[in-house]
Amino acid sequence: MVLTCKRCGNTNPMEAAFCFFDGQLLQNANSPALAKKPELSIPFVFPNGRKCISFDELVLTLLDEWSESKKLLKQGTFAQYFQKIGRPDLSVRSEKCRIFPDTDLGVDELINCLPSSINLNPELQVETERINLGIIKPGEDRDLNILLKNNGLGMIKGSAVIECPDFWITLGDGQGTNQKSLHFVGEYKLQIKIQGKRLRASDKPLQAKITIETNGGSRDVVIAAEIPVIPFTRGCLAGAISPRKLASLAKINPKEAALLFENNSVQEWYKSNGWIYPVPGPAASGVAAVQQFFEALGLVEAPQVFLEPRSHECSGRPGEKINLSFTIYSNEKRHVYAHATNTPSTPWVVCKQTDSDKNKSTISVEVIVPYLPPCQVEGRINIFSNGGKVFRPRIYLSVLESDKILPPPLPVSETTTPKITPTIPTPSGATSEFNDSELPKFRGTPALFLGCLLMLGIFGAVVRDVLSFSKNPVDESISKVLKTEKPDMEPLVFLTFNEADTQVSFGAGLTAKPTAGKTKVSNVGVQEAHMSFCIHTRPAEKSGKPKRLMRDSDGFTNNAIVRINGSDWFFGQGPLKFRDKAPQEFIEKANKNYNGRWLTMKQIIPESEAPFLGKGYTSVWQMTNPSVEITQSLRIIPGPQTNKLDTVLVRYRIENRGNKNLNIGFRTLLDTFIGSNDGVPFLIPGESELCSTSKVMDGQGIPDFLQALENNNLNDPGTVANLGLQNPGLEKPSRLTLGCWPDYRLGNILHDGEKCKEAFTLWDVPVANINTLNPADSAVTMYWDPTMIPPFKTREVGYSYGLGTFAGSRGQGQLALTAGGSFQPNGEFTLTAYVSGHSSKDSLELVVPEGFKLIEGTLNTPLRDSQSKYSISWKLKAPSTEGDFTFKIQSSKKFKEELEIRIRKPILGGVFG
Amino acid sequence: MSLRLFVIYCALIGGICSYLGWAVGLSITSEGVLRAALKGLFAGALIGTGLSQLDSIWNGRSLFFAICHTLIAAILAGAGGFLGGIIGELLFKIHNSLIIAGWLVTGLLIGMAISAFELFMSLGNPMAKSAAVSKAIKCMVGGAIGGMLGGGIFYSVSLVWASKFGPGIFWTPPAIGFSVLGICIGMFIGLAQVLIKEAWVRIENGRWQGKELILAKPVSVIGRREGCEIALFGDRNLAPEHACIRKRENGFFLADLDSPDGTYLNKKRIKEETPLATDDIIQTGATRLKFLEKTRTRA
Repeated sequence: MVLTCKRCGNTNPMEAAFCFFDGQLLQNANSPALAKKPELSIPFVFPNGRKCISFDELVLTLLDEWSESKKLLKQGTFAQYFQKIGRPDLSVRSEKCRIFPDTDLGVDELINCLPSSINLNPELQVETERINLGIIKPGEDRDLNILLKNNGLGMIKGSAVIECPDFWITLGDGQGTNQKSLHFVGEYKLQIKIQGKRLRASDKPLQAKITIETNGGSRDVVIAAEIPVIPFTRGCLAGAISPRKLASLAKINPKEAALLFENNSVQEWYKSNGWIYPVPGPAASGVAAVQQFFEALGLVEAPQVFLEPRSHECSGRPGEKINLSFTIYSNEKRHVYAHATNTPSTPWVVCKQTDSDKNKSTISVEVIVPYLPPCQVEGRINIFSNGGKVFRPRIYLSVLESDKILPPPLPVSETTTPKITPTIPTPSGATSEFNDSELPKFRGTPALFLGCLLMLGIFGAVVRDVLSFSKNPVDESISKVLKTEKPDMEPLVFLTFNEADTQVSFGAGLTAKPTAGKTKVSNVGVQEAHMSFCIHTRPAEKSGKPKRLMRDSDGFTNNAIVRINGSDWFFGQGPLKFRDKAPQEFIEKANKNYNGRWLTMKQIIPESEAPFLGKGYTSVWQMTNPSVEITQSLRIIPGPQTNKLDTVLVRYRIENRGNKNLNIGFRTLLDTFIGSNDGVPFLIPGESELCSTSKVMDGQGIPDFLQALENNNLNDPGTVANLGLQNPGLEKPSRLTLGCWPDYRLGNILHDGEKCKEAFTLWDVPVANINTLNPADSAVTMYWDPTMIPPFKTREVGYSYGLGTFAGSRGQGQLALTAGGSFQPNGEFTLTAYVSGHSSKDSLELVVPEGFKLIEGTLNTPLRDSQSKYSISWKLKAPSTEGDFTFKIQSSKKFKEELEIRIRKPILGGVFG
Repeated sequence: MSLRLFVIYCALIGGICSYLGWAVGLSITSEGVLRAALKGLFAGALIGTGLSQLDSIWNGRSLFFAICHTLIAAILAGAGGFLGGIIGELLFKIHNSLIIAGWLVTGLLIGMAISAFELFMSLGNPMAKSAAVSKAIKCMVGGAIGGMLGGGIFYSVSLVWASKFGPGIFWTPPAIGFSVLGICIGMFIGLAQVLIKEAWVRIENGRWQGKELILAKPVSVIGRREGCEIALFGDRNLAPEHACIRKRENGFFLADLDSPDGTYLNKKRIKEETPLATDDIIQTGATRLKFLEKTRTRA
């Protein structure tokens, strides 16, 4: 005896409980396997009479009777049954399975939760793994089914995913999807749709892969198809099988090809091959259509096109028609094409035909004046032209008063929604085509608000500046503060240069002097212009005479030396030219320290008002071997306290033009002179006595400024010269000496007197008392010691020299005040009082305005006995705020003097102001 | 808000915040490098705050995310501004003519710092990283251009003002300079987001009509829950998480998230993930969205 499986028809031995081939439960109640496991106390009987006495049997029956099982689950039969047999746990789980949205999954879940020994092993089988669709046409939709089978036990669960670049096949119906979840027990038809509208003709076959991944295994199904390209069949473009081929044929015969573009044959050909036509909008007329196609393919560059006019203004009564035109043109000899559409907000404009003529295209537009009360409306149209260029010209329409009572309807456009700006009222008593409720809301109001806020903020800053800095006659305090802010652009000083050849004679020790044209002097040489300079004061009155602040009117007695790697060279002085009879040895000796020439001389820098600067002069001195370039810049600038153009900023920019590091130092000698006084004593801030002898200072001991008075009378000091040593962007001298000008006569007096060679003195200037010679002759020597300058790096040194600040009118010749240093907020400066005619019994009191900090000195200073005038200095720190401040001094003898100090921030107080 | 309006808002918010940064900086009493650094810090922090807030509001971020984003952006941008201020001031001290270079460096650093947050967030996500890198580059370009323009305007206006009023510390030049700096940074950050977009949706009706939202993330959820990428507050027919748009290698797909009223694509209810094409109309609840995609060249 054998048992036959009802499912697969195979035979099994009598003692078998399940089919050996498919695991199907065999109707063998005597099977020892089942007999041993009577797990269900009450057998479960399916509606078709099939009885289950164990969980294994129940599982197998559930799988066999799938649709019946779904019904029973939905009815809640299993939950009731398990409750009845005393398995409330299974009852609860059955109930959960019952409420599954998908009943198939519910039954599957129920099977999985039953205590069965059946091994569920689904196995996926795909009917076919490759489908060749053959030749199909673009636009042709097709439906396919792929049969999936489950050759194992249990439910197959998984997903199918399509991989194809153009998405030309989808899963399911309609638009379809590229991914689908699957679950089935027996068989399943996977529905495939060929999306005809996504098919593109190509010389390569199309291929798509469907990957089916399930718990019963994974399978790939490949779907292939061919979509051959339909060749173009008409006119001169016949035979083209690709856009590029078509373009090459069109290039050969553009006029004939243009007709095919114009009548949309090419567009139709594109469509028949499923390709997207690259030209947006309607085809241009004539050869322009070919160019339009070429531009769209990117084969040629579009010409630059322009619109004329950029807007139109017109007016009319409601219902009236107004014709306008816009011209698109190019300056290149290329075809221009264009077409226009109106925008949704401009339903009252109708775009008409376009006339193209070589590099010009004219678009006609008809304005149909809408039925509105008199108002102004604004609209735009879109004009599309070469290279995708879009112009959006505006049309301003003035609607005039209408005599009609009932307005006819507005022109209807399918693509447009009537829209006007909300501010325009609808006509009263008449039905308007415009519906306020449909008007688009203006979403930019907050943006407008933010923009206004920002403008307001900037406006606030402008107002603050104007109020604070412009002259305000009502507010005298502001006026007072600012009255001298803007300097008088009339300079109080001027410059003269040595810009002509000078005849010089050489005496003993090669000291040279200008001969003043006396040609009979022996050892006469000619020195070329060396751009030394002299500063002069400009007289206040026309009848007055200018005063020199240096000894010679061309600055001949000043000199400057460049020290390079230990060798000294005259700055600005070329080799001397001697008469033929001069001995060669003498010439060589005399010209030992000359090396260079002027590249440019006295180039004028014009005056500027931003910032306020006077005239300037630049000269460039070039040295060879070693290669160094020195630029001498002289600029008339406003004095820090006077705020008048009364100071000259002298700047030397030294650049190493060679390819090796050089040790470069600079020394300049100033032969100081005021009016007719060649031996003026100096005021050194911090020193109690005026310097009328000599002084050597270096490092920190060098003050910010030096001052010299023309007259010894404090009540009438005459011209006050100020030498500024601390200047922005310029190195402060590393050493400074005050003393006698290096006259050759000092050679017999000083131990190193042989170095005194007047205007031809080299680096070291011997220091002697100012009054060593008679008459006294003072000079200032500034040294910038050599430092290493790499190739093409620079060093800037210099000083300022001009008129100084001095207050002596109130002091009755007994007291005077002056100041120098940094007059910026938090800057440090020195206040110096000149004292005369007081004794040791007296004292001097300084009144410091609020905010200033006294760094050195005392507010009440005891005076001393002295025959001549002397000085008392205080070092102060300015407050952090700007303003004008008055410093007062008063002696115990009731003499008083006061000086106004301006504290101002610079124009650019930092990178951010 | 349309994308164009978004760029305008970014520019204006950047400008206003930068202006406010400068205004706060007026209270600084210190001098020199510290003063410049603090001014840069205030400007950077406020620009970062304003732009991150706008980004959070525009994208409907959750409050927590918005706070975190704002804090980090403010700190980073503030640090960028601080460093930029130091470098700028040092350049200025070398020579006055380097003032524009100083501004440029400051703008560059603020722009870079603002985008650093996005870069950090994109780590480990290649799709987001390329967008973040693109945004960072545009932020830096915006900062550099803003710095250059701002510095140039600052310098020019300073000279014009000085010629008109004489020397002094003015408010107008830095006020305009900082505003321009902020406007440029904001504008380029806004442009960066708009230009790198592949697809976006435009709300066609209802309260948010006209608003355009960029689909920048792999999954953009449509719903009324705070934190949804496409948050449509106020639509009572919309589920908290109603539907989603997924970005895959071969395009964008719409899927319904088991919403009670369903999701419709071109008036057909969708049951499974469905590919989207440009100009498709998505209906979720009472709101219609138009899906728009940049034209992709087919091979």
